[in-house]
Amino acid sequence: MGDRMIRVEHVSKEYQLGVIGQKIMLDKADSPLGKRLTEHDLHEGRINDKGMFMALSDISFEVEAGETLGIIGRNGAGKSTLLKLLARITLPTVGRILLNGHVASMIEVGTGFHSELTGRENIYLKGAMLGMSERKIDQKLDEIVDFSECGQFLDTPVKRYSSGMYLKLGLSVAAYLDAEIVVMDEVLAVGDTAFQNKCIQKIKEMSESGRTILFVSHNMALIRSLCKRCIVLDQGKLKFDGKVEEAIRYYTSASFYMEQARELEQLERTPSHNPNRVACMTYIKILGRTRFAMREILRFMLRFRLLERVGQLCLRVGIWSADGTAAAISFVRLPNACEGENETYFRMDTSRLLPGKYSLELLLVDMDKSGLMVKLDALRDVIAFEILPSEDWPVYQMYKRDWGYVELPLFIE
Amino acid sequence: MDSVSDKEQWKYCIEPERGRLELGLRNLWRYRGLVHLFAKRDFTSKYRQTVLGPLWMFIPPFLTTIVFTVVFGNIAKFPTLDSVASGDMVVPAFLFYMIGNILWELFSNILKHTAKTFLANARIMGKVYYPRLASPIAAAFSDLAMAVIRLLLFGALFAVGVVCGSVSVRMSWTMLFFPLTVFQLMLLGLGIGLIIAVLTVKYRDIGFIVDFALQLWLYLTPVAYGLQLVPKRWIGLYMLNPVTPIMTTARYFCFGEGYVQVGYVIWSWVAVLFFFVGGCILFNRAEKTFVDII
Repeated sequence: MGDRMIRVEHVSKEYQLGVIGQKIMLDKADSPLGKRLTEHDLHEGRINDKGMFMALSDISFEVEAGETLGIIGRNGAGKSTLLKLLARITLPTVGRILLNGHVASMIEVGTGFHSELTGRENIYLKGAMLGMSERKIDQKLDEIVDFSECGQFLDTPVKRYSSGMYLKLGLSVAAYLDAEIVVMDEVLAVGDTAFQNKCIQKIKEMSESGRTILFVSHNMALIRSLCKRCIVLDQGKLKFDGKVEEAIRYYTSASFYMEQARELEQLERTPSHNPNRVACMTYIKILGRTRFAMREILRFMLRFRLLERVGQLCLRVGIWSADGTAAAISFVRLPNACEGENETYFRMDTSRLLPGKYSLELLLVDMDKSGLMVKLDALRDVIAFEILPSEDWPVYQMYKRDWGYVELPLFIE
Repeated sequence: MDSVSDKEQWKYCIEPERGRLELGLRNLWRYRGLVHLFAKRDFTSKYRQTVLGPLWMFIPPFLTTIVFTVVFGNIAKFPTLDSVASGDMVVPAFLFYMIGNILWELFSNILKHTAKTFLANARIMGKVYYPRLASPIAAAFSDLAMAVIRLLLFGALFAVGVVCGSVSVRMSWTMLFFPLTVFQLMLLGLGIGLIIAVLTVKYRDIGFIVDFALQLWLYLTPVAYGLQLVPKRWIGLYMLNPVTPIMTTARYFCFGEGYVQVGYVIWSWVAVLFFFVGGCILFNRAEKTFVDII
């Protein structure tokens, strides 16, 4: 230990805004991407004086050999850009990255497979792409096949694989890489639980054998179990570098809006969201306290605007816990919503939620007769509340992480 | 943070583009296994799930050759001679068109595949690092393998003709130099393809022109007709097309007669090296950050 493996020095990465190549598009304000970014990011100072979008700005950190570094941040914070720079997929605009070993990237593990080729042929292809020699793969083939659980399909073209098998195979090849540095971007987001656990075990083994791992995930539980140190990126800047628990606390508190009320109209919507906003949420207010005891109920008022009549308007509420996992969900129809401004009062039964901080995600959706939902407006981390542990069940505070987030009432018959 | 001086302690350094020229040939050599696998993948996956399988390697050039023989040879009665024959030897039209077609196919396939390098592999290249040059080179080798197999068929037909005596040409020692012209065509296809690949990253328009331009180019090259069709006073201009001297030289090496002029051969090599080196340099510049733009 103690050997430095990676040093990132004042690295920035700029991206050209707007559609490139056509003169008309160079007028940034006219292009859809430019517009979407400018509204929000000019405000945040993320567009520099040259009109370039700063995906990363002035990032510096070091990683020691054998360390597993977690990288967390919200969507668009620059995590993937950072990994791409480390993996040499693209170059930084400013600064430099010094490495003491070969980097293997596990960004979207299934890529690089050729659908007409068999599993075996693809293992060799993928291995070579990640810098392994044919002889090395020969040696490790049995282990890889064993790990992937795809043994009997090894000589079948991968186009006939299920998506799970596809992923398992991809992960397995990457898991047996002999690179000193491995970067992983949300690799475990898919796959069944048993295989996920196997992978976590494998990553731990890799780390113990001295490999340096950079691990990006939105799953705080995973980050917690794999990393000791963690960095937090926000708006392209390095906001925190330190112990994993502190980093997670920093990250969640930064995205948790612990206020009584909030204006919603100007908030950035998720990119996938329908741009011609039929509906727009404008204001939310928590009625009563934002920190309350277990067994209490949350009341809030929501204002939203409807531009036209909607078939069947519904409100979906996602309750997210502080470690980044979904804790619960609520759903209600809004039959009385009318065109124009609406003000509706809600009462959500939070009495069975365990103590902790929770953040609300709000979605206005239009549900048609077949139950299909069309998103009209969606916002994450709208407002947060905290449930305080009650005197009679202090135990819930301590083990919540392993117990889930909801307590179901249990009675003796 | 320490100064630049301790850079030596580190094995790799990732820095912004400084306009320096590193072709990364050593790195490419390290990844030769990948080039091999890419080429094998391109070659073997092409005819999977087809009934005729590898027969498809022969069918397209065979059909084109037949069409050329009928349309240009029998109907339009184009000469299949590059120069006035020295004796009574006449190269049979079928063989003349076949060799031209095989070589042209090789050239145009390499050019087309190379030109699509970035677009076709954008997804993979956006996720994994490997020397980008591995993709077009592998494609070129897979096209070469195809051409070699077709040339074997051509050789077999040629030999049958010679042995049966119905073909009035003989096997010539100049054949030994034939691979040189194939190599030259490969370099030219790669070079021009690389330049187009770089341009298409920003301007997709060029990709649309390629097919059309190649078709036009085919008719500016003596593939469907012999050089004899071209008026004497235009020859100098006509030979500016670097594929023309390569094509006539290839036929000369193959049949032991035809049109070879050292000046034009040198010109074609100059042009080939210009395009190839230029293509490599441009490609090298573009490969590092093309994922940001594409």
